[in-house]
Amino acid sequence: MYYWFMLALAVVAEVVSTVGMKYAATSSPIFGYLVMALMISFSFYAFSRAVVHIPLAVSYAIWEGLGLFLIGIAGVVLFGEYLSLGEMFAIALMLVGLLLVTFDKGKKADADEAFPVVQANKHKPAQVARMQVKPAHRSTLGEVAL
Amino acid sequence: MIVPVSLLIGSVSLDLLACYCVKRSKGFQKVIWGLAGLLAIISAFVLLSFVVRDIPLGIAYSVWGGMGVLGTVLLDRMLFNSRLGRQGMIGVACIVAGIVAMQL
Repeated sequence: MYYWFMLALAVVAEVVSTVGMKYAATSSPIFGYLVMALMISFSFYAFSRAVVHIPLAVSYAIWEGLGLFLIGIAGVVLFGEYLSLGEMFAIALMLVGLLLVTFDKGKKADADEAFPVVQANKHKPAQVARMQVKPAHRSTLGEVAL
Repeated sequence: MIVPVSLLIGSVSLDLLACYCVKRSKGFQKVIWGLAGLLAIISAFVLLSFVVRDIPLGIAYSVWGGMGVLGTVLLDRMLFNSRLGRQGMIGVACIVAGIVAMQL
């Protein structure tokens, strides 16, 4: 439960920092950049804590996917941005691509970790089942991709 | 258009550098690498903040995220020789298609 809480915090911190970034660019640089730097550092840290027990593919997909979705909404609601139907479609397409790539790698990246299986069983049984098939573990950059 | 795109590419490069540093830090056990990673990700966001000056936040962030994933795939292939399966390749195609669709 603690690790899922950390993941939720990481998502919230990411969204706040991106909103701070836009705020820094449009109105108040110092305050905006301060919030941005603080929040992205915290988000990074919380995410690195979360992946200790939640499989990386799952946590990355939630972190980046949910972040992307919420940030898109934040831009429209808080800053009055306009997204055309085509742009929304393009964002959705990238989101789908991101999920596909993430879960493709996750099979290899988390293969030899024993304990996330217990955690993941409750949430993503299908994913875990495939993870077990491919035991070859190779350390890659994708494991910590942001 | 040239300026935001080059800023975006610079920002993605810093993001990849940050990933590498955090990986080396092993969950912030090696503090120096962790701090280097934080510095890199903050610089990446500073560059990104110049991009969002004239591009909507949702668009800039999604393109940034998509390019980050593409860069990771590319680096993994070059540095660690890890290849994607068919599902991952479809995902890469989706991301590229999304970035291209954004330009139309």
